[in-house]
Amino acid sequence: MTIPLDIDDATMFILNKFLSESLFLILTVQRNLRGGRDMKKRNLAVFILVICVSVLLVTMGGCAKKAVKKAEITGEEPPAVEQQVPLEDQAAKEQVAREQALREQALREQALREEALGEQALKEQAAKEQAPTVKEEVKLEDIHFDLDKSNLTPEARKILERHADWLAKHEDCNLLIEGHCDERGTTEYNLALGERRAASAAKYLTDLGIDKARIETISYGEERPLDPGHNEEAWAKNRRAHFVVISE
Amino acid sequence: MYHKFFVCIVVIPLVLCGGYCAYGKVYLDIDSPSFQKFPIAITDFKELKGNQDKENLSAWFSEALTKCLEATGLFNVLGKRAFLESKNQGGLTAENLQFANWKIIGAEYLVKGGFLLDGGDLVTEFRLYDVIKGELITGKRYTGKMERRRDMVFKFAGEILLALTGSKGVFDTRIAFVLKKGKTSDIYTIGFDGSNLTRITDYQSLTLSPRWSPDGRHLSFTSYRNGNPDMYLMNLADRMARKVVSFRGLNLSGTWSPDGQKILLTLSKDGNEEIYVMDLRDGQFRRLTNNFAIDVSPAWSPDGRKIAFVSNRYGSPQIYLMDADGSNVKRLTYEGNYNTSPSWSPKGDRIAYEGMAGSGFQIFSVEGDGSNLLQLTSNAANSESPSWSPDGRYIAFHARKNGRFRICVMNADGSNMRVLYEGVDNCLGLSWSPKLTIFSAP
Repeated sequence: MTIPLDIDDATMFILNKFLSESLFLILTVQRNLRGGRDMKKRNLAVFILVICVSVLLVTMGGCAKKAVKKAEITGEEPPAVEQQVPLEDQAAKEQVAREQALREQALREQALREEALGEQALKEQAAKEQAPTVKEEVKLEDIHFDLDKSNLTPEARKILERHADWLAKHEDCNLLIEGHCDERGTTEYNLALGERRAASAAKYLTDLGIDKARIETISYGEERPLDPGHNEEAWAKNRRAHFVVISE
Repeated sequence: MYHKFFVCIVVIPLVLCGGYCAYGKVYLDIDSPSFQKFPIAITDFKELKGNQDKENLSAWFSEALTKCLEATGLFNVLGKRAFLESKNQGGLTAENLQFANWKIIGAEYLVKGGFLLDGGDLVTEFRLYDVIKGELITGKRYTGKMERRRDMVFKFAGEILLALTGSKGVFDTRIAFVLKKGKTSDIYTIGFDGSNLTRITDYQSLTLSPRWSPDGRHLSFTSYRNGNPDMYLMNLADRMARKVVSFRGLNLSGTWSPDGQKILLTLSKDGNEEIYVMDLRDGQFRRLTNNFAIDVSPAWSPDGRKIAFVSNRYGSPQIYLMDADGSNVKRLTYEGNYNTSPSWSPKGDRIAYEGMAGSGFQIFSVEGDGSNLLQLTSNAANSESPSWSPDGRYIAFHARKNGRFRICVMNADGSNMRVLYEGVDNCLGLSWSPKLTIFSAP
């Protein structure tokens, strides 16, 4: 089957007209032959119909090819696709927005629950903060740790024993223990390590008889160095637990 | 008989159509060691209405696109001084182009473009030509607001990559990181090409560890803005952050589950640092680790079945893997005595991390079974906090050397390192976004 591929517009027009007319003719013939009296004729009619539709389809294919060819040759069609920025599928967007809304609602509820707790905590904190003040005049000596360690050295234990004595004599004072690390290592691991250092200092103090309720801990990881240097001397200073005295 | 004819109708057009449509595109293997960068020339863009180009958009477009393509490590963008054509010579269309002038300077591809201001809108036209064949490969016209012009550049850069490599690349992504100035730190984001550094938080406090939601619309992070290190969630559309987890002690954000419904985190509320998973739908927590050691930095595998984390349960910090329910814990790293910050490749086949090598930190990657360990960086700098691009082609990290701090990107095999940001302020905790819808915004 050979099909003329480069058909000009006039030929196309005639061909299409011919096809649609013969299609109409065949349909009429077929309708007249309804009832199956003459199977042979009917089959012939269907055969012609089928051929005509094929020819029509192929011709259309030829036209499509022609359009592609034209674009390929000149490359001067306006850019292939015109787009608006941003490009978002509206339906998909709505779907995402719906899901988002649901998720956010859950989060909001969670947040409200948390906030209720948080606000209470904040109020308590505020109440606490109004009365207690940091007693900057009291300087309790820092304790230091080995690299990547949170266990207490003998020196650190001695210092903590002195702090325990002081705290026993100053019942009106509470303690905030800050855990710190040197700059080496990861932010997150060092936050955990700082937490550990503060916790081991706190535990030793409570073991020495200081009321647990008087001690708070916080970790700053490697984020609040005492010495900004990048050498062993600075690092040793920075691996520390720092004590902030708060009066009620 | 009917059947035969039916087959006839359907098949003939398909066969003919097949002939037209199946070009069988062949891409160069850009992962092959013998890959040569695509030599490409980008001319200054043309003002299409003949108006005066007051803002010098002409050069802005070519520079922005150059930066963008160079960032991929796949292009050799030819310097404008080598061009034989003067700035306004040659049109945008193939018939007005002298391909020989480009071939002779070694360009295999050429980008031509133009723009005009239509009322309040900027209309741009980008065309990519194959210089050797002398034909158009792809062309796009974009219409949008002036301030979205970088998005147009990113979009067409994506088209160029798609045409030449079969993948659109990661132009529609950003990298979040922490910049620390003195005692405070805040979250910033930066484009894949180093453009558009944007401050995200401003709390005059310590703010750390940003993690993207899988849809790119939220960031979770930890901030001391209310005194304690609490976890927050920020909606990037309006930059509103809510405190979502605030137990006593550490509330450190880990990564999100691939479906975005859960989040991993480290809490020290029970007296030591343990890994928990929080369901964002109902706010329920489930503890996954149970060990007196430090357990921190949890990261979900892309299929959601495994979790990598850091633990010092056998002395030094090492990377471990466990199933998503906390069972089946296995140690992953054995080389060196300080390995942290695990990050899964998007395919889930490798885990990048930072490890102490000599006196400093370097970036490594290893397969999920601990085999095929590769050291990816080996400079005098301390390189930390690796994070994969969503297409798995690149790894971003931060590096510190001689008091200078950098955000860097390298190919996943460690080659072609480049610097996105450099300054005197400490860069920390870095996280590469998924593909974003509006990407120059956050």
